[in-house]
Amino acid sequence: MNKKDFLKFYDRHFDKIYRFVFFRVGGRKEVAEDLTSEIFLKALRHFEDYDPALSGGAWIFTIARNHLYNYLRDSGRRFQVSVEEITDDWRLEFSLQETGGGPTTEGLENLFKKDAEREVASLLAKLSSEKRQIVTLKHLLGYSFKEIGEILGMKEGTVKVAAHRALKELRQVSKI
Amino acid sequence: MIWINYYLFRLKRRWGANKRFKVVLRQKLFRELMKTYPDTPLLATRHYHRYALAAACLILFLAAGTGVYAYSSPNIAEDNPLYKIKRGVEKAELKMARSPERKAAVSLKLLKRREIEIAQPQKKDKSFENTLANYQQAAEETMAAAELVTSPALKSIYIEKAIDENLESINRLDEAAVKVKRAAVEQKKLEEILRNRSDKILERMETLREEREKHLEKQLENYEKLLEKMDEKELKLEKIFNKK
Repeated sequence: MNKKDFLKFYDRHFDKIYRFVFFRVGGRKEVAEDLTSEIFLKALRHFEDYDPALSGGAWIFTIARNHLYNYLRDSGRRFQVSVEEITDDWRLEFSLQETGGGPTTEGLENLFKKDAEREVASLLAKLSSEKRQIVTLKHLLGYSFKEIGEILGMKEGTVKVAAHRALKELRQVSKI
Repeated sequence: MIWINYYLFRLKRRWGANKRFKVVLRQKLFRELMKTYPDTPLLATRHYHRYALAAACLILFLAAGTGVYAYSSPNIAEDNPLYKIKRGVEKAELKMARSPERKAAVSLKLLKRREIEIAQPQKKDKSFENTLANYQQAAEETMAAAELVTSPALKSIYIEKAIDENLESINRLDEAAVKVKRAAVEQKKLEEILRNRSDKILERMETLREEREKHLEKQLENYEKLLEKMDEKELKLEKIFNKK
C-alpha cells in the first residue's frame, strides 16, 4: 500500500483500535491515547508492507495486540478485567468477569463509572459467552455485523439475529 | 428497569476517543507523511474539506438553477434583479454559436425574447426605455448577423428570414399596443421605435430588390452572351456542313 493512503486507513480503523486498547488498559484514557498514537506511528512506518487483500483489518490489530502485550508486560500491571489470550489470527476472545460479586477492580471502576453502567456490566455477565461477545463487540466496541461475523466465524444474518435476541434477553433480565 | 440500549450507547460513547485527540493524532501522522511526501498538498483531506466541497457543489447547483430559471422565464424583464443573469446567459449562447449561420439563428431567437419583454409590466420608466433600446438593438443585430452569413445561397435565405421576422415582430407589437394600456409616454416611444424599424426594414428590402435586379440583369447578360456564342457555333457548323 502506498503511504499516501494511510490517512484513509487511519480514519477507517482509528475508533476500533482506540476502543480495543481502552478496554484493555482498564479504561485509562491517557494510557489509551498514548498507546493508540504509538500503534498508528508504528503502522505508518510499516505501511508499505501492508496488503489489504491479504490481511484486511487484521494487520493493524496484530500491531495493536503486540504493542499492548509489550506494554502490559513492561508495566507489570494486572487487570481483573480478564482478557483472554488474543489468538494469532486476531480473532479476539474475551470475557467480562465479575470478581468478588461486585466492581472491585480499578479497571472495572474506570470502565463502568455509574451504578447503572455497573448494573449493565453485571447483566452482560449473565449472558452466554457468545451473546456477551456479540453485544460487547457491536454495542460497546462499535464493530459492524459483518466484522463480528468474521471475528466469530458466523454469517452476518446470524449475528444480527443473535444480537437482537441478546438485547431482548438483557431487557428481560433487567426487569427481574 | 434500566434502559439497556441507552446505557450501552453511553458506554460506547465514553469508551470512544476524544475528537480532539483523533484530530491531533491525525495531524501528527500527516506531518510524518509530509516528510516522505513534501509536495503533496492533497494528502491533508480532512472531513471539513469534504463539507466545503459539498457546499461548493450546492452553491454551484443553485447558481446553475438560478441561471436556468432566469434564462427560460419570459417574465424576467429589465427591472428584475435576475435580468443581468438572463442577458449573461444569452451572450454566452451567442458566443458559443461558432458559424455565422448559427449566430444568425440565435439572433432571431433573441429578437423574439426582447419582443416578449416589451409586453411585461415594468415598474420603472427607465426600465421600459431600456427594454425598447434592447429590442431595437436586437432587431439590428438580426439584420447584421444575416449579412455576415458566408454562403451566398444561405445568405439570401437568412436575410429574408430576418426581414420577415422583423416585420412580424413589428406587427405583433403594433397589435399588442392596442390591447395593452400603457402610459402615453411609453406608448409614444414604442410607436416611434416600431416606425423606425419599419422604415429601416423597408429600406433594406429596397436595397435587396435592387441587388437582386442587378444580379438578375447580370445573369441575363451572361445568358444572352451564351446564346450569341451558341448561335455563332451553329453558323460555323452550318458552313462546314454546307461545304460538304
